Amino acid sequence: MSLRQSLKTALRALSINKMRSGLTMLGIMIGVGAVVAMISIGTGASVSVTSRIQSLGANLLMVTPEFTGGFAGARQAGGMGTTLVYEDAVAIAKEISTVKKVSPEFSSSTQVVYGNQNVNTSIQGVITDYQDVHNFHVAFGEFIRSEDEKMQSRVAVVGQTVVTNLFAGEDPVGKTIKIKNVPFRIIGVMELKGQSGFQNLDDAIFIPLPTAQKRLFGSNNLRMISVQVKNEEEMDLASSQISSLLLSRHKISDPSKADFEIRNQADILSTMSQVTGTLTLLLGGIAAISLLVGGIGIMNIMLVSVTERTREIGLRKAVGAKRKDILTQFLIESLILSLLGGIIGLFLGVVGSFIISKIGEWPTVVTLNSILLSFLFSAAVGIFFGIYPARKASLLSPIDALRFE
Amino acid sequence: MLIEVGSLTKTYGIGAGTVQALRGVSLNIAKGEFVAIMGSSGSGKSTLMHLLGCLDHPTSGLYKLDEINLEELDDDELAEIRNEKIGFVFQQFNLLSRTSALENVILPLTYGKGRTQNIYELAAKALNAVGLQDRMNHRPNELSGGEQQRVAIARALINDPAIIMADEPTGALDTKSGDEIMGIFQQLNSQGKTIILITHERYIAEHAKRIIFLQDGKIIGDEIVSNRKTTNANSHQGSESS
Repeated sequence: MSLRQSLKTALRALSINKMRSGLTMLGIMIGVGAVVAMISIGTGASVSVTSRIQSLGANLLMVTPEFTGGFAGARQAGGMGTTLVYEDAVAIAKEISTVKKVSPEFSSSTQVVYGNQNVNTSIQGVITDYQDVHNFHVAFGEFIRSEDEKMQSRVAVVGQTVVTNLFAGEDPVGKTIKIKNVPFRIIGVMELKGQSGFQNLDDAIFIPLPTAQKRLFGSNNLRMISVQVKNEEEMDLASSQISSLLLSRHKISDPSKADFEIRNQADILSTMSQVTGTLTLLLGGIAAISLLVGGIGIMNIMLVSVTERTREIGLRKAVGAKRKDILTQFLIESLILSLLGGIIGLFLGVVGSFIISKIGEWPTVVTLNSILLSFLFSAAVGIFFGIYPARKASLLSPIDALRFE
Repeated sequence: MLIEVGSLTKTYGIGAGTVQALRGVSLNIAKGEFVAIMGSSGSGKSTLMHLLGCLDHPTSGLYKLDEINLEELDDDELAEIRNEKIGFVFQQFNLLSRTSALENVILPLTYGKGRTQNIYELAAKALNAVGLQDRMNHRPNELSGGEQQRVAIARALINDPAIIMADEPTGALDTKSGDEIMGIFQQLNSQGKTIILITHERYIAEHAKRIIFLQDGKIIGDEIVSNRKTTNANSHQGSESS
């Protein structure tokens, strides 16, 4: 039997029971649609996390203090440690050749007052190089200069969220705010950064590091030293150089007892992509179960169809249909069900993930891979769940089939 | 000889519950014959028809159809023989529902080899031969029983088979339609087709030229019909059964 004839026969058989064929296809539609939508959600999460972490700045090493003394096993949260000081940052910049720029940072949260408005925001003590190291620049006005550091000037650069919250959108440059009752003149506004990694740098005020340490918080400690490495290939080398430098500066001989931790973007990136990869797999896996259920629906309907059409099968065999002809006919029917359902489901999945990204403001990415995967998967479902009923039909003896009432 | 059968037996089931449907049947049928196989129910006539029609394998015995030894063939090869050499007409017509008469008649051609050209012309010709030229696009549920059986005969004819096998072809029809169907068979036989008719009715069997009597799986009689029933061969073309 020619393929064209087989297709025609299969379509006629399916159209006889339109309702039944439609409902069977619905199972596959929902399955494929769910797989496409779920994978697009997972992929979207992965892409957005990756791009956010990359926006932190390339070639970045982050040195954070780690409190190791005192109670065994009790570690204080990062940033609370008291082991990194400004001089460590200076030493790193001066003594390690693979390092391009160093940005020592202090941060703390406190109340900020402008006129009768006040907000609680993050105060970042930074130096001029902060901009380049973090690839995060001033949008208008100017940034903290090295003179401001030396003079411990009371100048501040504000993030976009602070502009909205404290100044209700008006131009803040030139205005004076009070941080811990100390007046600061605003000299610039940072560009919009967006949520990056674990903190929101738009909701922050940047002041000179010495001003923050000495005038405001009376502390010598740093929350973090961000180190920009010259070449991406030298990240590991730079990391070990910094490590040995700080160990000797802190007079620690056993590296396992280091009072600091060095992390790089790649570490964070790989951790995060592992998390989002698992998320994608989980979502896709759950959706795949519904595709499986849809496949069982196809098998069910095909078995009913074979029983109903036993006489037809007998007749076809009597007039010369071979085993292969009957097998092909029923397999094509289940393939049409699954592929047609798959194509409609694919469309639903793409539309669905578009709606999710619009309404849920959740980034979704429909990749060619997920489209091909679901298409192949639905074809495989059609063949896998169609083969048993089709085989059953093809093995019927013509006499028994013709006698069947 | 078109059909040569020697000591054909068929046993159903295994062990204690076996049924011997055929206990050694030998017969020859020449080209152009019109043979009726008669017997009461349980006589083995259906089993014999299944074996002659290549729908089943015998338990033992010889069967040569058109000089081809059939015992060596597997199911798919038998399907090919059925497709090329045998046209079936069943009691219950066995037409595909929701499918036009024309498409029903084409069915055997779709399983044949290489004859894809002019299949609609061939089908139209076959329907013309049974007087249904005006009903080609009707579906089975729009046709009377007699007309449905005529579609089935056209379907049996389309591959120009060596033998037409009719299993109780008038069993589901009223007398008038039955007579018309027998008329068509007689006409086909006069044009040279070999026809094997299975029936339990003496009246129907006497439309054939030769009757083989079967009882308990054995042939108990083989005679030439002397007072053959004849129907006006062209009667079906003018009149319509309803």
